Amino acid sequence: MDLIYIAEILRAVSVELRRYRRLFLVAVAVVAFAVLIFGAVSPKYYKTSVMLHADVTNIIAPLLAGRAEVTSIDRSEQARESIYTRRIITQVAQNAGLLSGDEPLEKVESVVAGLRNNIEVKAEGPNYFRMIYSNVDQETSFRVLNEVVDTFIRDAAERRRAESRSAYEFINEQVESYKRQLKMAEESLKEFKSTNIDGSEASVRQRIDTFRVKVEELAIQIDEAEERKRAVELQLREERRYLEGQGKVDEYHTRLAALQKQLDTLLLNYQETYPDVVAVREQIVELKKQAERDGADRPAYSSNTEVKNPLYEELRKRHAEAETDLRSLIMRKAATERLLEEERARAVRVAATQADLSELVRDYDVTREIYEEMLERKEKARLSMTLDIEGQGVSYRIQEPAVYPLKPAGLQLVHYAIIGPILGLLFPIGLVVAYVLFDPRIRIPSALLTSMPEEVELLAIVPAQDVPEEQAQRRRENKRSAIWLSLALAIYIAAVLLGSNGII
Amino acid sequence: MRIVYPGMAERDILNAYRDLRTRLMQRTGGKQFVVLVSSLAPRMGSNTVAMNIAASIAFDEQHSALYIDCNLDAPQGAQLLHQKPRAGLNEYLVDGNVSAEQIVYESGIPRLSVLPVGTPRSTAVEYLASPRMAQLLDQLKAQAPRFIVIDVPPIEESVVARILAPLSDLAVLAVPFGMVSESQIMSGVDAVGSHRLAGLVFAY
Repeated sequence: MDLIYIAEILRAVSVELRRYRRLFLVAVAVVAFAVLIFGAVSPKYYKTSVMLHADVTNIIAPLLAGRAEVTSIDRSEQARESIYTRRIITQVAQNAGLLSGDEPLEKVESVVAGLRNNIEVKAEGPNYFRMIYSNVDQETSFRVLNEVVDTFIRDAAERRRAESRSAYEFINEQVESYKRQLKMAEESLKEFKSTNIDGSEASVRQRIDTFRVKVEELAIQIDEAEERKRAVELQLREERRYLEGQGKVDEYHTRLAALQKQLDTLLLNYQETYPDVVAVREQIVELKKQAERDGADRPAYSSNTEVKNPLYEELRKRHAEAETDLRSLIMRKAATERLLEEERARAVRVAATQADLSELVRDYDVTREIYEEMLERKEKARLSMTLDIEGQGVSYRIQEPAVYPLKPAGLQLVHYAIIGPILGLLFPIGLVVAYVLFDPRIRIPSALLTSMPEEVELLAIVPAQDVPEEQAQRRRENKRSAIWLSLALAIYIAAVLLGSNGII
Repeated sequence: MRIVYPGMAERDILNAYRDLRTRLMQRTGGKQFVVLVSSLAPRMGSNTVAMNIAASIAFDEQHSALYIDCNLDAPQGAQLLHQKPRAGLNEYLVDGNVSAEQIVYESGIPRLSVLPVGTPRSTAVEYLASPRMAQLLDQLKAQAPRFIVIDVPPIEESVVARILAPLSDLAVLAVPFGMVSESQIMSGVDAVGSHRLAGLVFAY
């Protein structure tokens, strides 16, 4: 849309306006007067407003801080919802004397709907909001708004009390429930512990280790004992063989010595040729021969050789001891191994129950932690509730009290008087613009150019030409219009002046 | 109705007609032509446009123009004359004794002649279709070298435009402000023949 196009539209509009100038002037006047009359007869509303401040101190939020999220609330929205409830509205209507209580239902409905429509709640900043009530009557406007604010604040305080009480009750309930849970957890833990006496995994493992070490030690000790026993046996055998040989030789030696002694005695008294001497000599030889013969071949054992040998006795004692030790060690090892087996079986059982145990313990721990915390919070809640019951935590207060409305709200007659002629001009001009734009008949030369096929040329645009008679007629007409217009204007101004001074 | 003249106060109107005249002359290369002027809107005659075309042609001392009024029901041509014409187009078409010279009058404007309707007659439209009309145009062209402007009633109102279109070299259609839709223009173009159409004149 270029400038030429716009200029042509404006020209077309001006041509049309000139063509319908009389109608245009009439339309301007009619619209202006209509607006003025509307402004004069439309009811005047008196607005009263109160600014309220909301102390945002939620009880449940600090109580549950870190435990549960509390959504933040738009106070003005909350106030709006609260005020528009039927409970409050009807209460306001009764207190303000709009309802006495025995009206028919339709009347009550209409009063309630009227109040709802005329009460406005506007947020002004995060914790401030304004309540506005408009009514045709100044007195009613002021009275009803004060009633609304009173009722609202009272209701809010009551609700707050109820809220803190319910918060306390909620916490209390929670505490009780956690207490029950804690008891249950304790019970089940106790029961579990009493039925599962196998001990802990660690202790079982320790015992197993101990037993295993013991078994190993015993095995070494058994080895040692066996070795010792074997050594003693060997020594014993050696000793016995020596003993047997030694006994025979000693016998011969003893006899030989005795014979030699006898011979020596005999020789003191007798000659060599003495038969006794000879006999002894022969006996000695014989004995020597026999000793030579016997010393090598004869079996070692001799039943009557009761020879006293301390080493042999000692060895026999040692042997007996070694055997006893060995047997007892073997016994102990077997016993220990049995115990080890038992411990192993127990370890399997303990592992199976360990999972159950840890779950029970966890339940118990968590429940106890929450319970203890809840107990603390419960005390806080009790404190908050006490505060609220004493009325110290009221959350709404009046920031800016209501002022008795002296002037009606909204547009004054003067405003309507200014708007009237402007609308009066804009309305017919708008109509003509729309007419020019949407009427299919051609008023704009460039539209003609664009819509025609190329071979159809636009040769010329001829401006309108006034014929002298027409000009004269136009002048007469303008004069008449001017008279009418000034008359209308005079009436208009007079109406405005009278109206705004309250005469009409 | 006002006729343009050199030196008039409304320069925009004067220039518009001068421009229009020049464009028409360019179409024929400066040669004399017969131009048919009609309007596309009913009850909005093309007299002003036709007369002003003729007048603007006559501005030039080299050229002379003849305005033929064919608005049989609402004659306009007499306005340009000092006295009421004795005979006009109707008399010529009906009476064989009337010659072309007798019905052409000088207007108050130099080099601009007028051929008025004459006495109104109800049956005159049929005569326009007769060979005598073509004969008249031939005679007029032969008489003197001049540009002929035929002013006919609006196309939607009368068949005159259709009858006379074949006799003319060019056609100009007036588009009055806010009276004509596109389709009306297209049917008007068809009526005079698009090859003959010189163009449209948008008149406020």
